[in-house]
Amino acid sequence: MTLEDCREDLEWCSRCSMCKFIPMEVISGYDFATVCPSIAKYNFHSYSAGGKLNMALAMLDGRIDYTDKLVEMIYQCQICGACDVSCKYNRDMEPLEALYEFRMKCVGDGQLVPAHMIVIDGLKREDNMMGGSKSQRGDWAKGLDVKDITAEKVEVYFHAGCRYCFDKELWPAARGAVGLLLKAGVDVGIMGKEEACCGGRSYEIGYQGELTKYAEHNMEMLKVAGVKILVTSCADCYYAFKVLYHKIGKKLDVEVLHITEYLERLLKEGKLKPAKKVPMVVTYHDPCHLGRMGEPWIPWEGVRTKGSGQFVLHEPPKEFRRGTHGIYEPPRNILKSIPGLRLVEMVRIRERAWCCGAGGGVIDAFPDFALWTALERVNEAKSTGAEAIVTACPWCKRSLSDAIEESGDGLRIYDVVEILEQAI
Amino acid sequence: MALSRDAYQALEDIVGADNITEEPAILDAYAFQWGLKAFTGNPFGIRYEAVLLPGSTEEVQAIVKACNKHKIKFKALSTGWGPMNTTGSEGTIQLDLRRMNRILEINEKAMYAVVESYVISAQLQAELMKRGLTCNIISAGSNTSALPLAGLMGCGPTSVSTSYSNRNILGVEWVLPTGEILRLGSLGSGAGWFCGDGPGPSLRGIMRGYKVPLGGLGVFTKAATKVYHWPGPEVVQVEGASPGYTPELPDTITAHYITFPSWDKFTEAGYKIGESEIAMACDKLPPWMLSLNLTEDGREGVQLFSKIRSQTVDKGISVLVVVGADSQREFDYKEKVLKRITSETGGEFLPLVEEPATRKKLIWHRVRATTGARETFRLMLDQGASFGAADSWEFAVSEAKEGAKLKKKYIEKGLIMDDGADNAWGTVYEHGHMGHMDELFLTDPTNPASRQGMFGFMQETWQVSLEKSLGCHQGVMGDMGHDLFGPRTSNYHLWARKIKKTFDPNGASESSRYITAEE
Repeated sequence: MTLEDCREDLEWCSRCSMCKFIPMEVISGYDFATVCPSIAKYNFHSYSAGGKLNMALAMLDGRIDYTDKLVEMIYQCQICGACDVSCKYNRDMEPLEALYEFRMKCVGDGQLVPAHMIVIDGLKREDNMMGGSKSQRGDWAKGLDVKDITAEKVEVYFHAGCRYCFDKELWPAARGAVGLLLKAGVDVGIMGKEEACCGGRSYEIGYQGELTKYAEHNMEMLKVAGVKILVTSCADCYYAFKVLYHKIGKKLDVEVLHITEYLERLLKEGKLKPAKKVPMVVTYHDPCHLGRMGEPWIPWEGVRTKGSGQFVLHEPPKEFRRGTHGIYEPPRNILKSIPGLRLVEMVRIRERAWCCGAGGGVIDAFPDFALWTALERVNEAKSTGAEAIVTACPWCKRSLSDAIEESGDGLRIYDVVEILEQAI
Repeated sequence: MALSRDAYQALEDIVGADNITEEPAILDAYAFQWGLKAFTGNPFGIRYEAVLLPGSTEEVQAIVKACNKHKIKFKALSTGWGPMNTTGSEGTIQLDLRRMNRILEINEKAMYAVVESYVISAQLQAELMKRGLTCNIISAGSNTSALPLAGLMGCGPTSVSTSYSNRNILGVEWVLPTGEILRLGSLGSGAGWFCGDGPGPSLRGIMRGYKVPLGGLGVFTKAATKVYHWPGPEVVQVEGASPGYTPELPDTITAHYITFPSWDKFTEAGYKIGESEIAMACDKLPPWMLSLNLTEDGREGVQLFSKIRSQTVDKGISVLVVVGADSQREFDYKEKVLKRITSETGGEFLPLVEEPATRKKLIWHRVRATTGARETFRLMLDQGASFGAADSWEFAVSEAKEGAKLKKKYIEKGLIMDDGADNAWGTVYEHGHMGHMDELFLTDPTNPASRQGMFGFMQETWQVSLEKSLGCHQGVMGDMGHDLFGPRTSNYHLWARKIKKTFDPNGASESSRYITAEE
């Protein structure tokens, strides 16, 4: 696919500005009505999905050429998919695909963001997005009595992901996840320093080839290991394994589950029993890659035809991913199972959740923008009266933790796993 | 024609470097409007020279003064949906008002709200509902500005109970094309926002006219709009995920989709519904739009239209009526009156909308006005509208009748999409004595024959309006259209031109979509 393949969608943006807001049906007040951090922060229409589609069309038509500002605008966007949901509330088109293709065109044309070049160089050298040394990738799990799937057969593979492996402050959540699985009697193993990046983040910043490379690598590793289930605590990795690999024709031959899905299963089966009270009021932040972006990939190959000689229909019929079937309930069900804990919801939740700010390479290239976005979310969380934000992704936790520290608030932040650990 | 460096610096000094740009890519994002493609073959119009993001009335005023000084044209937009937002002149700067997005006041006792230009209707309505109030939302949708100066005629799905923008507008803060600030109505005498006509200057007709000046007569920075009673919950709880939300509404709000056997019976029912004041909405939502409204993708919409066609468009003329009440007794009374009117006029309820889940969804879609883009653009058709004069209800219906009659020819030739010919959207309002109908039509912009069909249909509807004195179309914009319709409509074009000259002696406010001073 290329940007040119998106031309019809580029031309058919109706400029309605829906992509700037949560769907109109769920606006419940003046506050928290916007959904796109990029346009909310930078204000010019060009920062919205609609504006980016307009610019992409202008580029295809030869009206504009690359400038530093244009590349900056393309990348000052978490590519969080919220615009895609809001657009597709009413439209049958694929704005998010066009945003991806715009980035891939940038990379193909050598229009690179310096901060991303450093990250990608690191990825190529050390197989991770964090600039860490490959040899230290498994350090997060030191002392855990867990199998190494490169040496032993297991049923369940736990993939930590780059952020958990190299962000020491976040290690407790990854270790806690493995601990809970072991406690529930799951035959689980990890890959330690042999674990490699999922490739998802590199795809999001336009490096399509890196995704293919890591998809093939991971497919091979899993095949050799013979695992049946892949579990990850990272929403980004989950999205890559479950959605992106399928999208590029590399669907994994194992069941892919986010840790919250698997823990919910274990709770239902009675293998984990939260008995201790956790008296706390919390609000849940839906990670974009677990929520709206986490719904299964729906392959479609076909053409657009003219119904009645006039309107456009997809042949064969195309089912659109509109964010409807993301992973929303498992983390909430876990929280609801915990005695003493009260869950209060923010306005922007589920498919219309506000991004944490980290995604799409923003945390690497535009940390101030990532922080601004996260501060917006922290303010929304505070408005619920919650004492803590709970999330289910290390990128979200990092970004929101930084914002809490910046704001100096007493708000606490946990991963769902950490809360469940307290109850068991 | 780039701005002179002096002029650019003067503008930058007003808004700051972050809020002004000449970046070509950004300028192209503002030059794009889907509707242009149908007319010119290119969705990009003339590029603005720069885009500015003023944050206050004072900044707008300073920009306008700088434009007069440096002989630059300016044009402002709020949410910016539609080709009228483009400029027809080289050398124009764009003022994007999105930083001016505050609700300044909600006065529950006097029942008005004061907003800046970039508050969208969904935000305002949501805040109003917390106070038992609601507002008129234009038919384009709640994603558009709540300022009662955005949009054309300014009526929407609930206008039977929430009137239309021309009536709703109260106090206004207006930066004139020269940079002076004029405060209209009670605001002009320092008495607050509660009245559009005084004490203080009343220039409602000059300021807004028959329809808004489309950015061609200065910048409207704040306005008060009248608000209305809302008999529903403070917050409509919505379950599920997009696009299939399920709203929670009380049983004392309901909807019926009623098909009448003839235009005459439909007209009679409209008068009676308006006069009896029983409806929250009396919304002539055509069956094609209803089908797209209720479905989650285009294909389903086409299938639903095919299914309900025999019960609706083949049988007569349909309207969606929403009834809302504060008590069961009031609700029963309103329902009884509606059933009586329906019976007297030979109307039939569409069973689909009698299903509770469908009904609730439809009510919320219409009260919140969420699906404008769905009903028009989902199938990648180019949507146009013809007729749309604001007049008596019967007059409005006569436009819809003519529209349907003319459209049949084009549908039969395969040039316009077959929506059953009746795809006029409209509403009765002002207690039944006024009405609005615009004939929507859908064409394939990628097909030259279809585009020609669109032009042909537009031309014929204009001709019919002129021959049969059916008023000035709402879509008439610019000198050519006004010079055509003006002589048949009290020579309004001469007056509009005098207003333009008087209020904008330097021609700074870009007005090619409104009217220019050129004779």
